Amino acid sequence: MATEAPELTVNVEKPGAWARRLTITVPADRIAREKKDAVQRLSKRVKLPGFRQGHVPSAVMERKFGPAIEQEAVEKVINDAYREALESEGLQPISQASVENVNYEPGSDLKFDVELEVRPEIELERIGGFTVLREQSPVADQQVDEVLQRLRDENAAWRTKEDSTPVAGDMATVEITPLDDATEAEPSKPRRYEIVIGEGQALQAVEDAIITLKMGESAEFEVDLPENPEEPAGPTKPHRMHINVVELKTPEYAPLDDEFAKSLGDFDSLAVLRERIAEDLGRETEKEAERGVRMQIVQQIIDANPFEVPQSMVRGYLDQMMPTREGADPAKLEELRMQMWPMAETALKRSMVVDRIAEMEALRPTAAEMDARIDDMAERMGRPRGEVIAQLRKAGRLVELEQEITEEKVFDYLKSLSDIQ
Amino acid sequence: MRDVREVIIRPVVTEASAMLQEERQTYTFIVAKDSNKIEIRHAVQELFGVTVAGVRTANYPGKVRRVGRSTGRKSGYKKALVKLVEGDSIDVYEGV
Repeated sequence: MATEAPELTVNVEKPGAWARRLTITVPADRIAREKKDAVQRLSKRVKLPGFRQGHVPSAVMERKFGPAIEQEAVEKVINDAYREALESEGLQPISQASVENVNYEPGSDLKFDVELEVRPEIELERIGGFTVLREQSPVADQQVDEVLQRLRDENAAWRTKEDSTPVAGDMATVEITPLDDATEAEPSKPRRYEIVIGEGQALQAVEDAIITLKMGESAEFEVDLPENPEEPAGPTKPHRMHINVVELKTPEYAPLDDEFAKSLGDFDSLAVLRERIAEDLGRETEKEAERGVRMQIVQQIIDANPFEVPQSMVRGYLDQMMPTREGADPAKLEELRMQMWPMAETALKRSMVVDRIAEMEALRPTAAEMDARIDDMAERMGRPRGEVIAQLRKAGRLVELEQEITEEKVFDYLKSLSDIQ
Repeated sequence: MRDVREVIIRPVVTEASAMLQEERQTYTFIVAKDSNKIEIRHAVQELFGVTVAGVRTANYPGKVRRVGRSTGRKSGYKKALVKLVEGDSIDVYEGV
């Protein structure tokens, strides 16, 4: 229907860099036709005494529902005309358009203005010839040692400690009974906690009290606790409480030897375990280095081709990142948004640069490339290809995958244009 | 002579009357039961400023209605089909 519609007249003004004001004129006969369509649509549904459903003459319909029909027709014409105008002018709006100055007299042309913001067309004149530093430090023995120590911590055996008070690293099971509001008739109930001493799991004042007791001992304490739990350093108030140390355990670390390595899984010796840890750490630092390189390249491109991001785009991005939750304090939310603003701006610039380069150099993934990646995934997961595709589609991750491949191709291309040291 | 608004009670707006209007330039009204064709002709001419070519009337007696044991009768009405001369028309939908 749109193809046979009489031509619209569209006039585009640029009040700002991204702002566009469209003045659209729709010929009267198109509105008349739309009105006729609206009458027909409505007459099929409407029930009037004296008429069978769907047989109400249009003259009666217009008499009875004239203003509503006209409004419906004009609204539809405005919507259609706006969409057609965007298409014919090749505009990509990034904000909700606002329709203004609707000027319509029955029987005459419809004229209205639309104000919107469009996605900026960025011009990237220089995208290569940069010097980028790849910061990748080799994996140090100390890092491997740290991971090993963490593994020992996680796999420590806990031995009961009966004869001495707890020290840092010990785990105490305690029952704490607040005594402030307790009466003889209604004693407070004890609450049980498991606390590793020295890890900041309990308030310092409580921990100080616990370390004076051995396993099985109990005592009453007067402990200064902060008045406001969210401000541990704020003013304090004394509270009376009864602390009972039910159980005390101390960690027993396995010796760092081949046996320990074997107990963790498929490792023949400690040397093999160290090697595997070093490999994993190496992969991680490599990823980190790659991220750094990509960030530097994008930053240099942005510096060499400065451009601005429309505020409405940043706002839209933030809206997506942090949807308004009910009951949230609007002032705090606004403050948080302001804090995140520069980050959002950078993220948008980055994605605009990547998109633009993908477009300029035709680097979007081909169907074959997508297929190859999906085959890869299917093989890794050991599942049929069809199932993997269905799952990706269901989770809406096909677009993400496409974006991922595009980024890889864009950055491979960009790296080939710059000097990576 | 009585007031024209007492003669013409209301127009009839139905599918059938709409068809008569379109095809035969004939407008349908409910009129006072005791009015005659001459009164109706004058009333239509005066009310709508048109020239009437002919009037035909029909009396509809009220139907008998029963409610339990008692019977009653709905009120009847008189209908007039008024044909106008070529070129004249009435906007009967006004106020529909």
